[in-house]
Amino acid sequence: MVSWKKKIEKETERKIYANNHAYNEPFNYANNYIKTSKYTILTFLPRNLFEQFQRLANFYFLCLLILQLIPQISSLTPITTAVPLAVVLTITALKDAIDDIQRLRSDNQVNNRSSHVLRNGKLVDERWHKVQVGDIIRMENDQFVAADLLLLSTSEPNGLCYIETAELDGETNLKCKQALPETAELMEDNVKIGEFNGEITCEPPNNNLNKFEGTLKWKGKTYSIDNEKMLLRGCILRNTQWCYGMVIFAGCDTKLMQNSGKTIFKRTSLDRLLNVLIIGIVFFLLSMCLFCTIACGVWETITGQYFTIYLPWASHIPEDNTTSGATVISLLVFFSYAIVLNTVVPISLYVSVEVIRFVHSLWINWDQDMYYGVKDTPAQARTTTLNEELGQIEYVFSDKTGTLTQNIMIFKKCSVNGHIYGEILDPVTEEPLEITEDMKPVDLSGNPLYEPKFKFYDQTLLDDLKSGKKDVYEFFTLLAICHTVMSEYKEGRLEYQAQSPDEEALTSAARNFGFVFKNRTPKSITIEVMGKEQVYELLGILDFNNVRKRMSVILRKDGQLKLYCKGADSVIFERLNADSFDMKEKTIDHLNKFASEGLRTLCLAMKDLEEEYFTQWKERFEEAVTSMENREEKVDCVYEEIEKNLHLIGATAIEDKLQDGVPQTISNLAIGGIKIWVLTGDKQETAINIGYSCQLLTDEMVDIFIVDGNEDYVVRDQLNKFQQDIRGILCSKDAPLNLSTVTFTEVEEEFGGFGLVVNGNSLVHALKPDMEELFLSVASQCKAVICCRVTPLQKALVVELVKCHKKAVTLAIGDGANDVSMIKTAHIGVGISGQEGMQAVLSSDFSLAQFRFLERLLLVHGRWSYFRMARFLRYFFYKNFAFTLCHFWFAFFCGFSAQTLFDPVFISFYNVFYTSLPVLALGIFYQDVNERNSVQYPKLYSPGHLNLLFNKKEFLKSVVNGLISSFALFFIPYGSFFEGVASDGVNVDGHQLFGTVVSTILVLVVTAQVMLDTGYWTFFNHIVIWGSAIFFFAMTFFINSNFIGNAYLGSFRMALSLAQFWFTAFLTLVVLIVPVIAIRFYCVDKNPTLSDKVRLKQRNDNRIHARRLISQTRVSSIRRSQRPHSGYAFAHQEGFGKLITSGKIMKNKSMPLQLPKFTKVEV
Amino acid sequence: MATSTPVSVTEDNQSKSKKPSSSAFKQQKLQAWQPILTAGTVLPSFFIIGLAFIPIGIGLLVSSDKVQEFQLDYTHCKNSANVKCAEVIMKNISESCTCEITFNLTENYERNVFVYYGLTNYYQNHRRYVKSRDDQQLLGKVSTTLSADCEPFAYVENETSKIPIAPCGAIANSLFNDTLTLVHLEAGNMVEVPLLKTGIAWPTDTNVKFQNPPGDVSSGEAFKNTAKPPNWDKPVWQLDPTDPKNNGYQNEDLIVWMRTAALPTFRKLYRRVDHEAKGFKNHLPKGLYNLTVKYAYPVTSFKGTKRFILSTTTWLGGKNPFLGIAYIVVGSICLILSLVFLVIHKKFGRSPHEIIGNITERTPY
Repeated sequence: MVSWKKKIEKETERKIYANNHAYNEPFNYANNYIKTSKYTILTFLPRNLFEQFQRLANFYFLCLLILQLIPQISSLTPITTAVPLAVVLTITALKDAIDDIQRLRSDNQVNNRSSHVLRNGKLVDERWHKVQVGDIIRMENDQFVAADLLLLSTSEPNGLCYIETAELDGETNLKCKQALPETAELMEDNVKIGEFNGEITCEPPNNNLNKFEGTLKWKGKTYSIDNEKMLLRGCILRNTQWCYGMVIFAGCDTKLMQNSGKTIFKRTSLDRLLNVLIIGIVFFLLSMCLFCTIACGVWETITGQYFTIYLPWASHIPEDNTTSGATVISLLVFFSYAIVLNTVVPISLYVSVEVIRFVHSLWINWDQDMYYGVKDTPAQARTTTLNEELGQIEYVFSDKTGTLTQNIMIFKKCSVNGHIYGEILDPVTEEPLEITEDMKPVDLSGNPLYEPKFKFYDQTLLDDLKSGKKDVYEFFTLLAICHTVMSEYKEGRLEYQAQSPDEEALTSAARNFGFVFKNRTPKSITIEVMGKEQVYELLGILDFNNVRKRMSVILRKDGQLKLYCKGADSVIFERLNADSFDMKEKTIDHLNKFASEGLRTLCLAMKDLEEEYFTQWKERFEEAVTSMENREEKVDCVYEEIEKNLHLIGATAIEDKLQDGVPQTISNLAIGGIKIWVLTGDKQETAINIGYSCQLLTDEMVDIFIVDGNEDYVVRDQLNKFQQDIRGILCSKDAPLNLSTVTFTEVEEEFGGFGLVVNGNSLVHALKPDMEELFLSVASQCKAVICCRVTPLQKALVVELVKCHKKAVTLAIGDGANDVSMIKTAHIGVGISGQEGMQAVLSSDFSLAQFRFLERLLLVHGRWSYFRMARFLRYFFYKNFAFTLCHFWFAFFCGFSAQTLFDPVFISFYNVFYTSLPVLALGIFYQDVNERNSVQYPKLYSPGHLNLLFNKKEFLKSVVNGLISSFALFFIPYGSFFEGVASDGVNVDGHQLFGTVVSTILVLVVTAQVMLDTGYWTFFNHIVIWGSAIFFFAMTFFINSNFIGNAYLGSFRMALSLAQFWFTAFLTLVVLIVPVIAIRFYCVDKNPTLSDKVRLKQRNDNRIHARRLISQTRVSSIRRSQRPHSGYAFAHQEGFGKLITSGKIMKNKSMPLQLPKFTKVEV
Repeated sequence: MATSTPVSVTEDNQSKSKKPSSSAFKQQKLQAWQPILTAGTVLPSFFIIGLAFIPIGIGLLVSSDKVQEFQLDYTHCKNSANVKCAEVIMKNISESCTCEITFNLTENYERNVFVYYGLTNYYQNHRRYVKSRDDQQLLGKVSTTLSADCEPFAYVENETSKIPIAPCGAIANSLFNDTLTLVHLEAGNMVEVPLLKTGIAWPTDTNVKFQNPPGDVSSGEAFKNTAKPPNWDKPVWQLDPTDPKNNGYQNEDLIVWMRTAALPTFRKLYRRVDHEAKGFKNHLPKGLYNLTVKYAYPVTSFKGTKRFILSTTTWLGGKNPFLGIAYIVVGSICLILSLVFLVIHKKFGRSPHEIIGNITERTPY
């Protein structure tokens, strides 16, 4: 059965009968059991081992182990490889097992959720995993949808239901789904639904969340089914008491599971470099082996064959012919040396790197300075393998809404009838004041429905309202009426559900000023004005779309017809009547003022309508709506007719509030050489506004280029022109110098640089293969790049472009589902957590609560991680080369026989016990400069960009250092122990003693070296460094004690008792350490890096104990740009308008307003 | 999410904040010592190292010079028939050949004087040679199966059985078996220099690593059912006919030999001069000596050499000027370095105050 199931080729079409197990069974559709865990108890060991040995390093050591098991070759006991390999494999296996158990637990939890399944006309409680395709499920409010369902009927009228799709796409607003009218009639009748026997034919399982195609055959009729009738697994039912649905896809076939497929495994550039280096080391190893092979052949021919009187060749070597004998021996020696010298490829490297990264992740998780108290969210490193790349970020791609901004709109100012409100003037100078926390907001508590969090500081608006100014009255009436907001009562409190935060801000502003939008039905809107309820008859909503850039409502009250309209200034101003001219001029002034402060503006207008005219218009409208061709255009035309001769009321200004510290963060990152690109779905003007307010664009900038062409050639021309402009300006600045990138970066320091703004439409062309180079070359010469109106896919493409062509490390930060693609594409994805949508965080590598924490994540944690990792690696390779190459030098004296110099026990312990912890502590605790200075001097970040601290050159330096060290380690004891005797005459030139001497000095030297490298000695560093050295002595004594009886017994005691040994050790230490100090000192003294300088300063600061705060040299507050940036935003989508007027969205019973009666009693 | 443990459930009742703890460890604010290389520390330490190393080096050199050493290469010595012994035994390994060599010590050798034999181009450190022993056997554990590493010197096979060789392996089999005797020619008298056969091995070796099997050694009972190594002319319990204690695996000549040398050129302690004997108190007197070599150990086939060495020791061991010279050289280099750096520092280096004063947030790296 199972094998047959496996053989099924891809499903091409799915056919299901409802409530018909017998029919559905043979198809073997996946049931609702999900399994994301990889292993079972039985398969864990083989599968996990198999996976682990797919890693090159592990496989390499497995091969070595096998070689060591062959006695003819083995130059070392297999334990030397087996012990470290076992440790490494166990640690990894444990980690995998823990991960898998967690997955299993969450699987079980999900699989055991219960749901109501209709079986034989009765509702049965069934666990999720027992739900089958074709079953009909009853769901209740706030329940998770168990599988992909076809919606049959709901508690709401017209078969509507509401779902929240946060888990699917991260969007938190409610979505509306509607059942077929025919099935909706089944209602709650379990018997009827139990008899439902529709036949569904649909597409096979796929991962497209926005599309579904299928047909339902029922009672002889065929209905088409689309995505509107599907409830997908992972959604939550909201505002709907119950609904029934039929399971179409279950378990792993559901769209959610199909989407949660492979996460792209990200690797850091260091990982890639390490792989290259390891391959290089392996080649180096092989060439050493080859050298030894040849040398061994020569030795066997010249000496070995005659030495056979004391050491006959092994039995498997042909003895008749010396040449062939020597050849066989030397060939075998190749493998023997591969074993002896294998430690140049450090087995513990990968594990140590993982450990260090893991701890670096913990530092991030534990950092209080990245903890956001308001939302109780700490920073989180979700991927623990990318940390050091945080120190090399060159490009940051940021989303705007919710990332740079809070996505909170605040009603800040308004202009009514040519009068500006919301500005607080200094009583003396009449200059506008900056609004601060301690200013007293207008007291609105006279209105029982006011919201305490709403703050408005200009009393004159309320005064004018109270004094009965008609325009102010109309202004707020419009705000309370002209929108598509839905009202809700939660725990007796009135709340608004809006399509956009702008609308919510406006409606709530009206509410706080006493124009409370309370309720709507398809035909009416109820508002409460100054405590009195007013009901408006709703005649039509002329909804918003991107072309119209405005929305209107038509209302009747007391027999009077009115049209209220709000929209972008440009479209409203075109439609004003003549008498608004004066006011228009003033309003334009105000709008410019608002815009220059980075506020989002809207214009409001109204007109009175004649009943007659409206009736005629309504007919034309009906005609347009029912027309089959170009319906939308026709409808727009009809709308156009009525939205004319408007009377301007005023304008609103909403602040799109930036998150805290965004401008400082951006400017500091920019000083650190990180280029920030904002990729936003917003309009160009909004984006530029935000660009200015968060200091991405500054007035110092020489020029800001705007690419907005819609055609291929226009975009190309614009880009070419900008390219030339940049050249021209740079050359005039810097005429005698060649325009290389180096000079450019220096020039850049002196003047403001350029900004680039690209429109989504232009981006389509700019990203074409033939233009992307040009685009990139322009963009990369600009300090700031803003791409507006970009789709999620384009975001990913832009990231991809930079990633591929600039060979730079990229970071994408965003909060919404639309940022997921870019987060996944970038080298490092950062999600803003603490928001309701989880999608971005779930696909991110790091999650932060606030954008401003990015500064600390990069400049402190990232930088430290990179510095630590680089130091760690440089030392790690050094110590392995110093260790292993001693065997190579020894080869010249032991007839290239692959005899090890050291005790095999020492060889297996060296990397794991004697030298690992000090360098791990170094990699975990090292700080060159402290966190405060890391942020204070962002230029400290630049080594990461240039890859200065660990690259092939640095690696070679480490190798050469290791090589020289091993040379000295071998030949200095060689010199002092040559034919050596102790003071009592006994021989001390033995092989064991010599090995012990060299290994002891080796441990001393590498420990001294790590002491030099540990520039930051915490308590732990002291413990592990001194501890490792002491442990080495204690352990060696113990192993060579009389009870254990190691083969090297006696050597260590003898060595330590010899005066020669101590003089040799001291000499070797000085010979190896003094040059290192000399070189480092030379560099620090002659060309100190910024890091050296800051370290010096830091020490100085500590010394004089003057812990005065470093004067805030950086820009202390947000500099408001003084240049007017005309831009009017209307961030609104096509909304619920149609649904409202058609009545679909209304609940059948309108809830009466319930006010809490004893509000005063509550605290 | 799904991994809520019982602990976190109970914590739910309290107001649980996700705020990380403020411990200095978690906030990476542990007290730390941050050493910096500055001219003030580096230059003086180089200078001090230089100053200290040169006198130490001179001291080491002087003490190495105090060691009296006499070396004599007898590889190609000739017997009374003026035939090279090396050639005699090459023709027939079992033929005995004796050389007599006369040499002159120009000064008294102060006590203690040691006799060594030295070999060159002899690969005691070859991998197969080093491992060709059975440490368990040498510990006196009786077993009929030996370590496979001893092959091909593990068993003597006759028609019926395999008899283990004691001691097995290539090292033991190749035991140095020249016999060296030294006679002092003093005013026509020939006085044999009294030589001690014990006290020449490491104490740990004689006490721990080498033990005879249970049973009587001198009668060979302890070694019954074993065979002698093929190259040997007598079994292991008869290595020293003069001292019953110095036999079996605890024979010190064997022990010294079994401690394999690190390099192809090495010396092994052969005998100690008995300074208790009359005429040799406190020194080995100067004058003519006659060295008699019972030449049995072939080395010429692989271009090896054999030496006879007389040497005294100091607290630093034998003669080896290496350490002294190295200390003087390194010390001088350190001195020169400190001077060079002083010049560099004066010329290019800046004072800390200068450096600190000049940094701003835009200072390039």
